[in-house]
Amino acid sequence: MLGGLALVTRRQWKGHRLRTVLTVFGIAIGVATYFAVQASTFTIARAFEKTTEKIAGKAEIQIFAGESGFDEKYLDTVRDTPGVAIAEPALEMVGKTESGESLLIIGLDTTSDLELHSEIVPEQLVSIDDPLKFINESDSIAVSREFADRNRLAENSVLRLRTQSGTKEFTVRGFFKPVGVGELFGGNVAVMDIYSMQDVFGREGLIDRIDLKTDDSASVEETIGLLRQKLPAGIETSRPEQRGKAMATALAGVETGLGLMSFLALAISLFIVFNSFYVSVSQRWKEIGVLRALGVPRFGVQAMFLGEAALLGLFGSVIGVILGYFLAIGAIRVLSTVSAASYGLVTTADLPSLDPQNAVMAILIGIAASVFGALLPARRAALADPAAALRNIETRDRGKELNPLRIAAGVLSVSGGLAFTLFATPAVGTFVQVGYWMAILLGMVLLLPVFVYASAKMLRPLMNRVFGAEGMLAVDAMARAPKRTTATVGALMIGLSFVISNGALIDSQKAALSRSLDRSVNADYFVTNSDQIRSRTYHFSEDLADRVASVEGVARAENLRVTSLKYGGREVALLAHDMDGWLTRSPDALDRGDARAVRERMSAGEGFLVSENFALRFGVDLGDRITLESPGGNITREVLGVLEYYQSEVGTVFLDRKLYKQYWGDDTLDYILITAADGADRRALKAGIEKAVAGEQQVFVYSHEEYRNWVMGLIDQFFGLNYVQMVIAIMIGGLSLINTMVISVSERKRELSILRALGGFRSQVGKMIVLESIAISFVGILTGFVAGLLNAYCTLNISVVAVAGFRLPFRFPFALLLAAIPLVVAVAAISAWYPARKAAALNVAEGLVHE
Amino acid sequence: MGSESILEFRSVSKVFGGGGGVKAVNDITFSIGKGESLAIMGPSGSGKSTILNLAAGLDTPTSGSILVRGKDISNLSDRELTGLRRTEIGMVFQTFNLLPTLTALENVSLPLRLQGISQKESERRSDELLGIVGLSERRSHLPDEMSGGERQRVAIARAIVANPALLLADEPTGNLDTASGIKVLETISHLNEEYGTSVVLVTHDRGAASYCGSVMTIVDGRLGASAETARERQ
Repeated sequence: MLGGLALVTRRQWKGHRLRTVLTVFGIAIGVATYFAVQASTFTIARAFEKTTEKIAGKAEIQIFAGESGFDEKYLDTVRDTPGVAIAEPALEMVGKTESGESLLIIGLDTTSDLELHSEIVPEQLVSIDDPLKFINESDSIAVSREFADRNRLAENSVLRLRTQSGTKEFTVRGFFKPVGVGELFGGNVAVMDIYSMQDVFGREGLIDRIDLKTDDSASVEETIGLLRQKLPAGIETSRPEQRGKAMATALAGVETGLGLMSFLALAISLFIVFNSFYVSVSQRWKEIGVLRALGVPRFGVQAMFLGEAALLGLFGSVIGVILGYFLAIGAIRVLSTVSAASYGLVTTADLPSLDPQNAVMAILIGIAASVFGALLPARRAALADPAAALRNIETRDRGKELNPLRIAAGVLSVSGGLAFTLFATPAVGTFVQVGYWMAILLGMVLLLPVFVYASAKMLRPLMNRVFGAEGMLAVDAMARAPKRTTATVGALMIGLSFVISNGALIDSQKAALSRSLDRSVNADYFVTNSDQIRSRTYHFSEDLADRVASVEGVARAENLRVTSLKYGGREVALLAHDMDGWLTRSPDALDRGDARAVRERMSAGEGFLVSENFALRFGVDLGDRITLESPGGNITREVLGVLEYYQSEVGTVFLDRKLYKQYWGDDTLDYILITAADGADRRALKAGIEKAVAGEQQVFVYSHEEYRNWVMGLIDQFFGLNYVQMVIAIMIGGLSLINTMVISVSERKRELSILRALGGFRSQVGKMIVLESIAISFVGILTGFVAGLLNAYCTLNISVVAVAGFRLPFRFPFALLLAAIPLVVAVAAISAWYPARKAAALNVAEGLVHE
Repeated sequence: MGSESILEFRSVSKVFGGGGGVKAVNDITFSIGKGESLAIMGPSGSGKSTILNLAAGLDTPTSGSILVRGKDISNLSDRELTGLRRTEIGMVFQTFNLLPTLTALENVSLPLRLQGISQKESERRSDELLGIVGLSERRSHLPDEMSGGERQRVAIARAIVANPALLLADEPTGNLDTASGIKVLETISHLNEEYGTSVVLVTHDRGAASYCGSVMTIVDGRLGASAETARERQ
């Protein structure tokens, strides 16, 4: 029996090539999106892990304290700890050549045997002519051969680098072949003696890291336990691979968004499969009757359709994995940009890592989605009355789509999801909250036939008036096949709702940021060290800040250090501010607490300010005492104010810079916030600042307006994927429309032929098909708008609160919707082009006798 | 009547499937004048419907020429043929071929709407015709809500709404019971006599053929016997 059914299937595919190709492509796009998301997040995570592994070399344990580094005295503490065999210190800085190339400079204890760091500079691959001079002269630097060749550096060449301590000159006294970490940065690695490096960069007594190896007497875990007891809480001790994992978790929020996108793409694929099989069953009604008459049992018919779905799913999924690989290249670029811009984490990920497990999973999910999409049509085929089917009479209940039970379930699902959104707390977790969102979406899908019906009722007179009989017939055709139309409308609705809810998120985020910028980030000029929100590698010195402060026209210059620390197991942002200046300039900065009243206490280092999302996430309120772990020990202070702030989606803590310097031993800074003197010539002031810092290191000077635009630009960059999503959603919608319209033409051969027989021109028939496609897209836009509105509400009230703890003011993305409408309508018209041509070219005499 | 030729077939042949294909119509010649009615009879597959399709410009002859109101339509473009169907030819089918989503009134007015005539004017004329075929009270009903005979009468009204010179009817009573069939034939006959619309009726029912002035028989695509009917003799 199977052989016979397979033959029938093969002939069907051959006879309906376009439908088969569109179905396969529909699955391929869903799987491609899923695979791209999986592959890109996997690649980024692997890249972070690989970076930390390579940096760690042979180290089993790493000790570090964030960007500020920590006192080198702890090296002895570590070396004296039982179980530690070797412990070697390291410093890391990034410099820029005059041509703008970045160079990672690693400071190592060159007097040691570098056993742990032999992977960076393997003895046999290092060439230093005068090792003694290399150690004794503090400007000595060894560079990789690749870097030397590229920059034409020979022995004793002078290398000028812009660093956070200004422009420095080094003398090249050695070369090495980069392996390990050197490979990661394209060979842009240099090595210095750690003590010379401390001296040159003004980081005397500080180290960034201790790499260590244990002896046989103790396990790694036991040694970590001992070290944690002996070192201050702000100094972290962990295995290198855990650092990589921790870096990757910074992107969790973005990855959640991408995960949702891939889920939606698969859902849309499912609609396409449903659509194709629904029509396939309708077209093969007579064939089903014949098969049943020939003794094929019901399950055989069902198995035939499901087998077809599985095979198409397999083909589509394999193509999807290949497409997904290329899509992942783009996704990795976006993730890398987000990672660097928002978290200061530079990833070396380039091409997607092909994890066979991911590929197999994507293929299995694609097949499952395809089979699931075909389930209902296959069941309908299996339940067909053989006698009626032989006469090619469909025994379906036309009124079923408007079944009151289905409508009630839809209304209940939507209202239930909304009620949970409104009343449930973020504490239930993202997973449950996604459930609310899905309930809303599911309810909308159940209500789709009602929407289609109501829209058709509304559109018919309008289309009749505007487009004449063709418009009226187009709407009728749409309404007459509610299931087919619903599947396409559903695909459009899901895609558009996601685009609209993401658009709402972007607009709301921008509105919130704008408000925050006006209230609390309102300096006249911003001097920053990076073109990203946060840089982990470039910082300003106080000396430079002093020079900026003395520029004519500067009334006040506040210094700000932006870094991070561990709190409650998560990485929160830490902003060390000159509190007196800030709270004087921004008296309305606080939502809870009075800036004027707490200014003195904050300046005296008697308290912390926290962001709203920090307070929400960690259950902290005004007046509570919280403890921060620093390399200098724990600091416990009272929370004196809470404010809306969007630096980190985990939370932000503010403290006075003096307190920060005291506990972190770090006097670098990232921003200099300038208040201009009354009557100061703004242009001259900006030029003066630029002149004061010229030639030192990379510096960006923004006016408040420029800074606002720059931040908004970063938001756009952050949500750049939304536009990719929009294109994918509309593309899949278009694909679904082509499928539907081809099917519509094929199903309505007779009707179209009647029109031609009654004197309808080819162009009129074509116009009718295009109008039908546009009418469907219109219902898709309408339902997408409603679903997008509900989803946006859901996203802003639960997902954003759950993922980032932000409470954002609701902004509906009207501009995006207005841009999407002509785009979708244009895609609908283009999608109908081929079916319209097909319809216009129908053989009328044959069509009139078509069953 | 009969002075002006409305439809004329001159040695028309139609071969399907190239040179070695099936000759559905083989060297047929006939003509009908204004106000005349002709029944084409023959067994299934004899080529009756092909003749009708050729006459309507839905198909083109392999050889020979077809003239509608003296104009050779054999080499007209698709657009010109469509234009011809709009103004000169009305068609009625065995399976009614009404559009299921349109009411009786909308179905009848559809050809006029396709010609760009306003909805108001189209519906006014359609209303009149529905009155003529005796279905005024069914104007707002969908085809599904009407009997077979009623549907066919709506189809007839639709076929003549543009006031064509020629009505082509393909087995119009094939799907109807006897009483409904008679009513439909009477309607066609009435239009033929009252308004001078020429009628070509394809049927295999002798009773139906008797409503026409003359009968032509087709066997294997060739012209068989032709005869005047009792009606003509009267």
